[in-house]
Amino acid sequence: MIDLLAQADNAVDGLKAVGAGLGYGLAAIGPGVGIGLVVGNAITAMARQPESAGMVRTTMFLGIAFTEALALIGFVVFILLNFA
Amino acid sequence: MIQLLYGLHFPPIAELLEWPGILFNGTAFELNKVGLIYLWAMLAPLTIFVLAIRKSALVPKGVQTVAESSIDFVRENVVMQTIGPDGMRFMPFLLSLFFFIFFANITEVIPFIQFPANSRMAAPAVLAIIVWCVFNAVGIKSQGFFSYFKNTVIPPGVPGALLPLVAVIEFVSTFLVRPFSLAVRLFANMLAGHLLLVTFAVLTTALWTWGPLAVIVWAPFVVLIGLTGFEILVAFLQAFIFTILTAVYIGGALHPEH
Amino acid sequence: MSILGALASAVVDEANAVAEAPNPIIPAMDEVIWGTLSFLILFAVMAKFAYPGLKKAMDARSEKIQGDLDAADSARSDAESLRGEYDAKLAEAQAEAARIIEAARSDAEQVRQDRIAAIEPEIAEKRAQAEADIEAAKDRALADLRAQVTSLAVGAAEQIVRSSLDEAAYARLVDDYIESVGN
Repeated sequence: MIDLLAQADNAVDGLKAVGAGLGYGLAAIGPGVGIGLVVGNAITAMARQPESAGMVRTTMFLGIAFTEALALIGFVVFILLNFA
Repeated sequence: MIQLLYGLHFPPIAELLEWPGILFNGTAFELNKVGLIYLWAMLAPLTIFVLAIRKSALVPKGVQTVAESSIDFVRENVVMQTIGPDGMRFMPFLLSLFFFIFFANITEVIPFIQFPANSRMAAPAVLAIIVWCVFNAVGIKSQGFFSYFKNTVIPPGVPGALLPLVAVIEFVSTFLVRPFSLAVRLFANMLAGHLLLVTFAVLTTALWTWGPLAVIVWAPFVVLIGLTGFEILVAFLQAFIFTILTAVYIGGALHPEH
Repeated sequence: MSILGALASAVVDEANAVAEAPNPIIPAMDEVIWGTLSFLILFAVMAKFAYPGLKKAMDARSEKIQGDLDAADSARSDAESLRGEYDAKLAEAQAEAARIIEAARSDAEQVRQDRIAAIEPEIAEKRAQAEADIEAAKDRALADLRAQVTSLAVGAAEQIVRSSLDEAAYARLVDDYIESVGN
């Protein structure tokens, strides 16, 4: 292990990579659950009232977009940590 | 085994995203692959529309169907669902956004191009700034500067004690987070999709060249094909979401919630 | 050294290789310029030319379709009103026919009643005459009968008075008389 660290020019880079990976993984949990809830409820709504499926679909995409933003911010943090 | 892992060369991200200039090298107008894709994203929809107008027939077919159904799509699914009938004057803007983003995205899966221009921050950032200017201009024009600002920052029905906190949150979310999330959503989706495709393409070629492992080469290849289909959907969906969010912001600025 | 070591050194190599590359989240200036130009040109052409042009064609078509639909609608309503008119006329004609038939029937009834009324006195007269005839004949017959009975009675009495009153002659006389009366 000492060897390994010695090979790295800078141990901080390694820590950054670990942090970025962990950060993205953690950031994806909440939006994952959230998007599941959004889509599941949207499907329930569409099944109950197929005539309003268009409106529900649009709103569902909006909800997905807002929820997904959190995961994407995690992805951006990943990139910032790795390449900034 | 070590040799195999070591030999799996994943290209560094700069190699995937930075392109050498083709024209005007060294000037601010350096044209590279990304710039070319932006030009294509401008010319492709214009070509479709010009052809559709030139060959305009009573019963639409071919390219005219594409243009007209896209107009219908944007009108029914974007404008009518968010702004309402008085949003029809934003149709050219929303159509341009939709087409520009879609054609800059779809190059991700077009053979020999295989690069989504929106995985570079340039266009998403520019478009988000333009959208920010447009929805603020619409709000100021339709409500006046101070009442627009007040309606935006102070939502109705908030108890007095919470007001400063809510006002700060609303200000940040409307004027800072909106353009940022708009740009980042598009950029990160396309970059992630591109990296996924690259990952599985690299894995497929690596397995193909490594003799004994070629027996499982189909596995990443199948995933690659599936992801390609998925990315077509994503390219469309991101254009749609960007457009509909723009419409939602414009609609919110046009009709304040009382 | 192990797989981990190899992997780590590979990762580090790559990290070094891209260390000097610009951050991918910062937009590159040249791409910003080209992207802005492209989008603004697209928007300008779309707003000035492409969208209005296509919109005009679509509007013209939907107008034409709407016009056709309206024309078909009005033609249909025309036809319907015409049919209504015909229906009304037909009903009128039928009512007229029924009315005429009814009138004819009542006329015939009237004629019959008139005829019957006209013929009634004649019949009554004839019946009265017949009854008078019958009455007269009956009276005449009664008178005849009375006269004959009287004459018979007188004759018989005459005979009885005129002849001798022996038993045999009396019997013969009665027999003769009866015979003569029987004849």
